Amino acid sequence: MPVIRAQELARSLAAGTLVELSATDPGVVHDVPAWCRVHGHDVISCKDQDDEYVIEFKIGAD
Amino acid sequence: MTFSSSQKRKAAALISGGLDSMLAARVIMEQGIEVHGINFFTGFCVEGHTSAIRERHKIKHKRNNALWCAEQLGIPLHIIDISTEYKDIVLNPKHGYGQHMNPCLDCKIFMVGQASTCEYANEQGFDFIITGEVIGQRPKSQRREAMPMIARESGAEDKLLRPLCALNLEPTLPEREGWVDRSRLFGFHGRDRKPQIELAKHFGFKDYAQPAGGCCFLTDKHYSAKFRDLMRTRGKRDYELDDIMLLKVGRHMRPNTRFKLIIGREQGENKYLQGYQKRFLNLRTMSHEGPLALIDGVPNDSDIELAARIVARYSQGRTAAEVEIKATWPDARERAMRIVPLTPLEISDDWHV
Ligand code: SF4
Repeated sequence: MPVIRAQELARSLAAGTLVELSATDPGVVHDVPAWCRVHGHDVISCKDQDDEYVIEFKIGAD
Repeated sequence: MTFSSSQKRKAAALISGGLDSMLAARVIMEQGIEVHGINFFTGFCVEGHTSAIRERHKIKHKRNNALWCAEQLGIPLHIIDISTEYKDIVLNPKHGYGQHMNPCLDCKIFMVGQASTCEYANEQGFDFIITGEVIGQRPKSQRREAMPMIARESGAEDKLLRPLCALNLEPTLPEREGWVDRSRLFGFHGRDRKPQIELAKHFGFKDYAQPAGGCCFLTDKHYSAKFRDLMRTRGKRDYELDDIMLLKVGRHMRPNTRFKLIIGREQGENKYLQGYQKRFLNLRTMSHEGPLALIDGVPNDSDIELAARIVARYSQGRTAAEVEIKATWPDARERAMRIVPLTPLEISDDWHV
């Protein structure tokens, strides 16, 4: 599940780090931004590419 | 009762995404307790991607309700992947199943146990656990006798507090210690949802989710039928995560025991199935617009031809004299076929899983 991948990545990354996540699961475009809002990370972009969705976010200060 | 606590206490709230768990968390937050949400990913969750897969649900909510609840409550939400360990709960539930393939009682025991002992709980040092359970709301997993059973068998014991029905139960540790004021908890019981709806209104919650059957696909009749079919035809009670994720997507048809077809019903599903095309023999309509279909099982040559004729039936070429279908194997072998689409009468009702 993409949001769990995002959560695990974020645990080890410093504030300000940019993370790019890609998935074929369309839920990513709703779940990851919601998860970012809950945990104070900033969504930079969210793209629907040909065969996958790509979302970029910046780790917020804890 | 006086609320006497010098130290700020911390609770883990099991957040399913439904109204009750959201209310339970809020009731405890009202008492100055720091609440963190915990949500479990079992692979069978309704949460997450599934409503988003189908494009026709575009207008409907595509949100993950657990995250939405956390956002409304202003609390962190930690999602724990228990999909591997959960297999044993689904396949061998000590307390049996509910109406369908839902092992709710074992599931609750497992989740409460995980919320007490998981890595995140150890890191955070929660003082107690809260759930949105209400006595009598569900016939099996929320009947009165199930409540102490869940507390005992999960190992949470008296650290498990159900704020919505606490007044019908013995006081728990947080109540006895005065961390939580029992008089500000509730005594809800039964299937009537009015008290919860009133409380939601009181807190100003709108647009919340109220899943009818339960919080996962195992309470769904059709999903459970597909799940049983999967195990029956594999000849063993076992599954992989991909198997159960794919049961949520597409039209499933089993013309014989050797194979099953998973046919995308629209663009969103086709795109989702694309993520699996390197792992499954798959069929694409080349001469017309059409769905992507995966073949699960070990089909022989005539099965593949039959599968192609079925897929053609669900393509724009359904009335054409001939449709071109390409089969691609995971090792990149390909076979092009020109076939005649099946007619509706040739598609047996029994094939639909
Ligand atoms: S509905 Fe599903 S997730 Fe909820 S308690 Fe039952 S088995 Fe567990």
